[in-house]
Amino acid sequence: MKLPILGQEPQASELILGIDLGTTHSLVAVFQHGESRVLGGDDGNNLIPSVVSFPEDGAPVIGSAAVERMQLDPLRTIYSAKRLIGRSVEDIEREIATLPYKVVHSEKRDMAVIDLGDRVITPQEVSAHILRACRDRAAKQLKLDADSLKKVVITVPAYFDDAQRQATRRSAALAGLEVMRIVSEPTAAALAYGLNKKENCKVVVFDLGGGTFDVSVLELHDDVFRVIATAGDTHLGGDDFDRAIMMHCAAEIREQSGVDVLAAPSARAALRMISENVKKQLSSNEEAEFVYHDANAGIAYRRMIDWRTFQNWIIPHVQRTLDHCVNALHDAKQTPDSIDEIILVGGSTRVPFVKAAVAQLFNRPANDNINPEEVVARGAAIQAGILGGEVKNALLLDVTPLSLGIGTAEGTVSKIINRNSAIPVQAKEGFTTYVDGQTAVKFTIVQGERELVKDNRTLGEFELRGIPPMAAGLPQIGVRFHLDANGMLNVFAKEEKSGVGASISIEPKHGLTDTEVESMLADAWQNAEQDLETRRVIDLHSQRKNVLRAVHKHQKMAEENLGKEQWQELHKATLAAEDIADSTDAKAIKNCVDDLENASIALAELLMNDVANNAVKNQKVSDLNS
Amino acid sequence: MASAFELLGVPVTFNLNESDINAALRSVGLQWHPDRFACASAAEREHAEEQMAEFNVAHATLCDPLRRAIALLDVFSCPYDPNGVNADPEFLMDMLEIKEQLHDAKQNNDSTVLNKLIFDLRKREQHELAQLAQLFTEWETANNRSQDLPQLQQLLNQLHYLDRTIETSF
Repeated sequence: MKLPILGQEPQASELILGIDLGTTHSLVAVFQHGESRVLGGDDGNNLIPSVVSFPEDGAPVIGSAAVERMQLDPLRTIYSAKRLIGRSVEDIEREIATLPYKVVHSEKRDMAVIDLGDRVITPQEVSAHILRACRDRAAKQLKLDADSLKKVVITVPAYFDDAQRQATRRSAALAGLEVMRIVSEPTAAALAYGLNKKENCKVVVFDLGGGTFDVSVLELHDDVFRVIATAGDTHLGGDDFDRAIMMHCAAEIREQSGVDVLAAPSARAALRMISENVKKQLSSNEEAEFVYHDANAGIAYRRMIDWRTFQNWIIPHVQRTLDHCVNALHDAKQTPDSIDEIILVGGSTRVPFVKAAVAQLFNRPANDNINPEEVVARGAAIQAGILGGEVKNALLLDVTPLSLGIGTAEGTVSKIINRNSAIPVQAKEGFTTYVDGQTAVKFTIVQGERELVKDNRTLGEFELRGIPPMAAGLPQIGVRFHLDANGMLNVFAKEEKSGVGASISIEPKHGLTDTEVESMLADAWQNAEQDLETRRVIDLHSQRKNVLRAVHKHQKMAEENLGKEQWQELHKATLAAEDIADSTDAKAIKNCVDDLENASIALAELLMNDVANNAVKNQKVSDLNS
Repeated sequence: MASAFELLGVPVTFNLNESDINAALRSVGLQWHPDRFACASAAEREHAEEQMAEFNVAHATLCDPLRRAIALLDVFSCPYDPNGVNADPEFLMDMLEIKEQLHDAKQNNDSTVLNKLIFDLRKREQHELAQLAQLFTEWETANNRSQDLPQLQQLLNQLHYLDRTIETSF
């Protein structure tokens, strides 16, 4: 006989994933068996490129498969979406100029969206796909049903404002995930660094990622991690280093060939990838070569870049990171000498010049023993462990990076919560009416440090409605502003005299409303993932056709001017590429395309010289004329 | 409503050191931070959010000597009223002069002079803070608190003025 069941077994607490949703790549980690673990992909790589490609004729492609499509389908392959999220077009004009895909202003949402040509997608959707990929990777690695993984901790730059945090949470909602906590990246890094450390100390986390920079000063005491101050810039990162290389080389290419190479989206995508590669090489080598060929446009460009040159190009960006360090130390009432340890986080801290600059500011080398790319994800997993109860007696106490204020009628800001206040935090403010019988009051909430409303970021227009009609100035509306532990704003209002809870409507300045999220959620996941191999074959064939077209166009010239051996090689590769038109073997097609590209370099150089000669001739003619 | 001192469970005195205030926050945080209620009901989570917000505000109040002083006066039912304080004429004269010098230094873009002026203001602030601490020590245990109150309020007023002057001189 079975014993009656008195109570149900306590349910094994649901696993919470820790996700580092990065500008250039993302990671997923879990806390299990007393430690954090980053989950790798089938290829053994822990990083999932934060790239999503939306082919015209199929399901979205995410991660490294999307990276392969960058050059082929530049207008529909979206990277660095994190730079756009929760932003308007005017916030990010400078960046948009160098992106191969098209970013436009959405009147309806007052935010930057991506125009694919046949449809418009939001940065939130792009992030949602990446979050989904993270979840799917976790499900696969942990041998769990993907639908059972619903709860996540997501990290964001400490300097993300309310709109950017809200947008990140919306991304998760779109992906069908519930955000248990939004954690600042440097704070997460400190957690991964300092958990179970015996000594109490003060640390600075210097976090230079792909697109954002944060610096945080923390006090570690018996596994309680208290952020004292944070500073940063959501538009400063390794992308800027890439762009510096790209802009210099593009300018030289224009000088040499007369072609405005940045005009073509595919060239922009290619130059960016080459620039990133050069930057990476310069982290371990004295010099690196920038090589760019485009037979179609007649460009063959080569240039050696040594570390000194690269250093000069990035000085302004590195200087900005140091300025933020000084500000954060000031706000934390600390000096470089009172800090016990400096932790480097983010792939961009691999750049030797960045390391050296930090060491100089703090008079000592920074700690680079930890993997700067994985530490944030591991911190997110530990935070997930804290929330789930597996990590006992550890706690994160974070701050809000920006002051919160109310816009006055004169256009100035009255601050109600100062930057670097510990969160959650709240402030109360009283409002009244200006006209007899007035039943609604409007006001603006801003985030930022500047004196004037227009120089700060407007979070939204708030409207207090349902105020009982009274003489002007009589109603006393108490509004409570609550910044929660995620650093996000909640507003509550009550008319104190009548006790009527005024209803409050919040118009988000940037972002999506709930209904929009719901409708997007409905269509977002209808398309099943297409077989990646099929996708690759389609893509390789269009790449093959592109190169063939260029070679055919200049065939006559090649035959007449190339050396015999070069011509034969090109001819052979052309024939091979033509013959493989019906193949579905991705590897074979790739080999053919690579061979053809290599064989066409000589042709590209020939075309380049031709352009250069013409330019010289033209100059002589004009000299004569003048 | 509970005072900042009560909320964090620290002694009701002006002379607290920052590490004790931080330790108090850590201890209430371990109990009340919303992270501790992640798997609890929505109502419990909301309650924790509000509790922790109050603790954080209390912590910020106690860490700032001027706000701590005002909170302390409230506890002793002697609310601080900046308008009801007679200013020390000597102090006012000093400030008038310093303000003029600050103005000139800014006009001439003379950072050396400006830094020196700010440095001196900071030193003066430190000195007056030490004085305030001393006054509070006596005042907290005095039998007749109203007697020394005007002096306390005057010093507090001066410190506020110094604080604002330093803040606006950058």
